[in-house]
Amino acid sequence: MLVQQILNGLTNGSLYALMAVGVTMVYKSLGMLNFAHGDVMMIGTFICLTLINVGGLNVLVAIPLAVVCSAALGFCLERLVLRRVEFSSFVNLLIATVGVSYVLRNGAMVLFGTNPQKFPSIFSTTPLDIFGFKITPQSIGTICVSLALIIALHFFFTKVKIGKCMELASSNPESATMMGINVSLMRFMTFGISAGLACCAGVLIAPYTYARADMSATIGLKAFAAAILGGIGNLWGALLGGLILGVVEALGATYISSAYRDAFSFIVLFIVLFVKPTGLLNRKIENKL
Amino acid sequence: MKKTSSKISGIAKILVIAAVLIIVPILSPNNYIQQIINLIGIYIILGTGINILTGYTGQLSLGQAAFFGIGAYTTALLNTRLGQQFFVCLIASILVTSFFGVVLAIPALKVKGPYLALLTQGFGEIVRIVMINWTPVTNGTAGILSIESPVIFGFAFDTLPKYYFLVVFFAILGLLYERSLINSRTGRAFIAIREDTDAAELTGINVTTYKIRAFVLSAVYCAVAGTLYAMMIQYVSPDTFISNTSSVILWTAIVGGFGTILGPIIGGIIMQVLPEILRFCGDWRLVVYGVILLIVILQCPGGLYPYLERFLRFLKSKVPANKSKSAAS
Repeated sequence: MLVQQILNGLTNGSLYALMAVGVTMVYKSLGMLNFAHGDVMMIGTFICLTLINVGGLNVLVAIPLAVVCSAALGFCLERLVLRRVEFSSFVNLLIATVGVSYVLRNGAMVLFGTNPQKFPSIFSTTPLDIFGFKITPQSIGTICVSLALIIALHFFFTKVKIGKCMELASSNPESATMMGINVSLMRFMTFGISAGLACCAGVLIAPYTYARADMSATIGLKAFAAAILGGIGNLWGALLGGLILGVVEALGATYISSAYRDAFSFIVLFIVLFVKPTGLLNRKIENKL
Repeated sequence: MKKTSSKISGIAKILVIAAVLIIVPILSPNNYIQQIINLIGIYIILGTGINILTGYTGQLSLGQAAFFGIGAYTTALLNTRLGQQFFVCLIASILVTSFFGVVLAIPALKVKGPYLALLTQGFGEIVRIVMINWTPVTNGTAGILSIESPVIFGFAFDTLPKYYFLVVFFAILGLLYERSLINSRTGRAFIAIREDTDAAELTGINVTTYKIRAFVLSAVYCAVAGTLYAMMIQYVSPDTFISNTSSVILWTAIVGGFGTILGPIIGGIIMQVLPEILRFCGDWRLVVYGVILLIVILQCPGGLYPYLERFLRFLKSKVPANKSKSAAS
């Protein structure tokens, strides 16, 4: 029972991790949580669903297309909204992302309806018996895809030239500019990649939760919680935070109360912010005057 | 001489405002419009509350709907279960939300910026989940029905136009309190914390207690608004107190202009009237609403209050000119 729940938790956790990575990337380059991240995920999921249902495309063709569309959406957000408020106050930057989230959510409700819609899974859902534990190929696939994406991202940021440029542009914009890196272009691309990742996460989440217009709010918040739990700006932190959050949630839902399932992650968030606001993997930053 | 004339013009202003406020319910053609007007009042109270917390103290909150909801539910429960009247409900919901204000303020003291926004939003989500799932007390998603309208000193505020005066009374009280607060030592401390927390601490301002005070004050405003809301609509359900409501409350303050006393009034009117004007857009109403607000935020980051101020100054500069002209002729 316990191991079974931990396995379930890891499946969800890997998805939260995938979302958290996107949040963390944007936070690093913008200095701001992107409150529209969950909504980008939701829109990406619906684009994919529309391509499958209306366009009659195969799932494996539809997903890459949807990822490209969401990345385009991310580009648009950066160009049309965030760039304009970048230099005004912090509150306005936050409000702008909240506003985008409001527009996207209500737009999705009009375009795609408010009813939950079934989303086809790429992987089979018949459970396999491995050492007496039931695990579906779907959850194995989910975990593997998320891990693969995060590891690929890690190599992208440490080994590929453009990835290194993006990393430097977000961690130290001034010296990046001096090295001749186009910081604003890098930020633009960070946003696009983050939106694409959100779409990947959405496509993997939707078979479990159905595609709903209101899926964005809770999952988006959990992604923030995961990113902060692990230490924001840290790729591995996001992964660790996501997995911990997934397991805590699964165990809480089983042993305490399943109705309060969604509340556990926020309680974890409260505790983390109270005890160690910098997160698990980040060192404490001294407040310099 | 000058002082008396400014006093007279001050009294005249108050009389004009009072006259407008009294005429409004007489002019409103039906209950629907009256309800929107009452909601404007309630949102002015909510906007004033968040203005103290975010506009003056700089503590961003995305969880105001939670306080609003706690206030409304406290009133609803006391009224339907225990049969308590308006003042008992009001005081009880103020006490309960203040308690939660302190509870939220304690972890909030450690964090700032986006973390604080996230923390408050998480708080809002927890409160909403509890509202939905704590069925024996909150009656789950069905909400609490048939809350009585208030009777104060034997006078029943049982129709919307009558209720209007109650809302207006509390809205004005709230605005006046905010005004005197901001001009006091506390208000100056709030502004100092907003401008630079470290510098404020160095000058001897106890940042901790002032932040807690700001949280509790904004929670109290939400409690008053919640009580008024519950007794006006006579029904509360978790659907009202979602994160969208928190965003609307934040926008009420930001569209009007953060850190200005009159800002929430402008914001309250715009945020409530705009969706009604946009009814012709059909299903797309809320999308258009969001886009318009986004444009307002992008184009005038300081809100609309500076524009109003400029307009008033323009009027003022016109009026004496006219007077001198008429005197010359």
